[in-house]
Amino acid sequence: MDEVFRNEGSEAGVSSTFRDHLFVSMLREEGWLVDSERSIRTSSHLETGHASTTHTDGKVVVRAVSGLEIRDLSSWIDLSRADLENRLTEPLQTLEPDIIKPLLQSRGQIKIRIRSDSRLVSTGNIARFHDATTITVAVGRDGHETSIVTTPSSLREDLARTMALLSRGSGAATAPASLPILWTNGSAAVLMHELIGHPSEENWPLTRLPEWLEVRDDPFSPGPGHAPYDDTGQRGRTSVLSDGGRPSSLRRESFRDPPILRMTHLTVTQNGAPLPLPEVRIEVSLVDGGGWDRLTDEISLRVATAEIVEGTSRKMLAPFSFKGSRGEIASRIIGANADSVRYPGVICSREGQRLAVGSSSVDLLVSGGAQ
Amino acid sequence: MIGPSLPPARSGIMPEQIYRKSGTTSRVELHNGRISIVEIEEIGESHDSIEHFSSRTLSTQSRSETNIGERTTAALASADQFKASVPGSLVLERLVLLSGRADHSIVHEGKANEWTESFERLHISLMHPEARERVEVEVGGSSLDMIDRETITSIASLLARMDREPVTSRELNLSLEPVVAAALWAALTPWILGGAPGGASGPTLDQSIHPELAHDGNGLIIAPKRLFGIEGGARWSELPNMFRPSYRAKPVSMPFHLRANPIRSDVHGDYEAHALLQRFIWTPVGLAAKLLCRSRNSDSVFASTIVMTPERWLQSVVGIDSEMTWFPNLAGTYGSRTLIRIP
Repeated sequence: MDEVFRNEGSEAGVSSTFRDHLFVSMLREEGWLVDSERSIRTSSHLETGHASTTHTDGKVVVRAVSGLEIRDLSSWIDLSRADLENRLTEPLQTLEPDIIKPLLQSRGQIKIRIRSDSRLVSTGNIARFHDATTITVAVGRDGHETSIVTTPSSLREDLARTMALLSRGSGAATAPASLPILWTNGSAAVLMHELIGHPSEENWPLTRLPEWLEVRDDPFSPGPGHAPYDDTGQRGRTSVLSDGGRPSSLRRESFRDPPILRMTHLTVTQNGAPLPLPEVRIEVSLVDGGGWDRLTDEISLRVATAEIVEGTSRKMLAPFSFKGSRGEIASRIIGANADSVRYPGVICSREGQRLAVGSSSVDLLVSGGAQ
Repeated sequence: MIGPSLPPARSGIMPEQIYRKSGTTSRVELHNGRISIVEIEEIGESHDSIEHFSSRTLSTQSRSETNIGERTTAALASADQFKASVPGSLVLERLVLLSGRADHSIVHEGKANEWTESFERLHISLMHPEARERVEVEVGGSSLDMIDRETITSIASLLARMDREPVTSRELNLSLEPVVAAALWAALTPWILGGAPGGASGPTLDQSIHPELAHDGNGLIIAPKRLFGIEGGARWSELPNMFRPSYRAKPVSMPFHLRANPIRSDVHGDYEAHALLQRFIWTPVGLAAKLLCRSRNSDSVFASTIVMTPERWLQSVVGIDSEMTWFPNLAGTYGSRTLIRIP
């Protein structure tokens, strides 16, 4: 082995085609239950494994073995084990006590899942190291759980923002289908994730979008999904999906999975967009799920938190579904504001592999359409 | 109606267990023309106490099975056969074929229990782009030979010639093919075990046995148990067995090898439901199914949506054949040709 890079490695030796490689992973995951009296660690999982991955006769072949018995990597393994422990305990410490206490007063109990993941990809004589910690916080509300996915550095901010949104309570009013929707709080990134992201992963034709709108997959953005090198050891590349580009990163959930083309961090920006803000509108701030169906070419999103805005009056809406064909929804995008906001998290499941995808977006205005 | 849910993972767990699983799996995945072959050798262990569940991988000391290559070759050949049998008007969206063997051991209060299982699973997703319909089927057993090829090929040929226009529910004398009946029993299970009242008519449902898959997640031999009948139903807390799909997952109470007992009657309806076009889902008014149906008179193939309360689903059953097929729903579910009559 010539080099072991940490995070931002060299571009040397990277080719644009799939390269046979050895994938090594170490994962530590913990689940915590926090209430007003105590924090309990309810579950923990430690996982090590390696997989040789080759591309032969048009097939990707993964030979995966649990455990790490690879002598050449012993120095990396020692480093990672210590790192993993530190990265799991630090995020919980940052939560005490100013964030947690108000959270518990209003919600009673929260679930926290911390996942710390170290990966090494060796292609011939070059090895690349990548590590990431993601934190999922699930907060119960009226029998329904809302989750955020974030990183240690953004945990406090994302949690505070989400709690402020949830503290507005929940409504019973139904979302009127005819009203325009302003996707706020970065939630338009989830809309674009389904509208542009997944179809581009599968090389589907691009849906026509306003010229002022740009959607890009950027593996260099900080936060969940940050991966300058992908899980096959290749240098990532920023792709402009709204111009017909495709995500460039091959990612895998674990050593047991084949690497497949996946989004990393979806960023939605605008240049010169109008924002004809209607007097009466729906404002969406949290989305708790969604999907794109390649059979019908329709997308659907489950809106968890939204308000109906009428001048200075605001009223919470009941959770609702937003559905439609890609082309129809894209044609209804009519405006955006200037600033991109980080959305606290998307865990994306495709082909049975769940991966964190970073998300940030400007506010986006879509005419009509709530169902 | 809000759909019933599965039990919390904590229920019924014995304290201080150490469970270990080692095995090999060959997995063949076909998706949008991409083919992946994954061979896994893995050992994992979990420790389970009242308050904490922990799991970890262990290093494989030596190959627990030397013929993983042969297993992969067989799985790949089998996947190719399934792929070749898909009619040209359909799109094979996804095929995942799993073939494996696992050695299990569990230690509880110093006593050890060991058992071994082989397993095969096939998940297939077929799309009819023109009709905008999709069928997903899961079949399985303890060997590749047990995978029900006929069911898959029959569903594929029917889906390929279905009419575009769906037919909504109406008076039906409908026979559910085993794959549909098994999915119905699995969908009703959380409702039954969540406190369903006993039925004056309809089938009795039991936990039963499988000759090859004889152990539960704690290594106990699975014994038959009445789950639902005229006298009422069992509850989650009364289930004797635990389901442990992976060492990484907390075990949960679950009925094994669920079956509806035969009801002697003609089980051939005017219409046949061969597959689910959408999985059973709970809606505000009941349990809904979108079925791929065939008329026995006209041989036409169409979609039909049926929504009924769970009580009505059970009361509509008038005949159940004694011949059963096992499917990997929940911890195993048998399906038999089942006649339902919808007024």
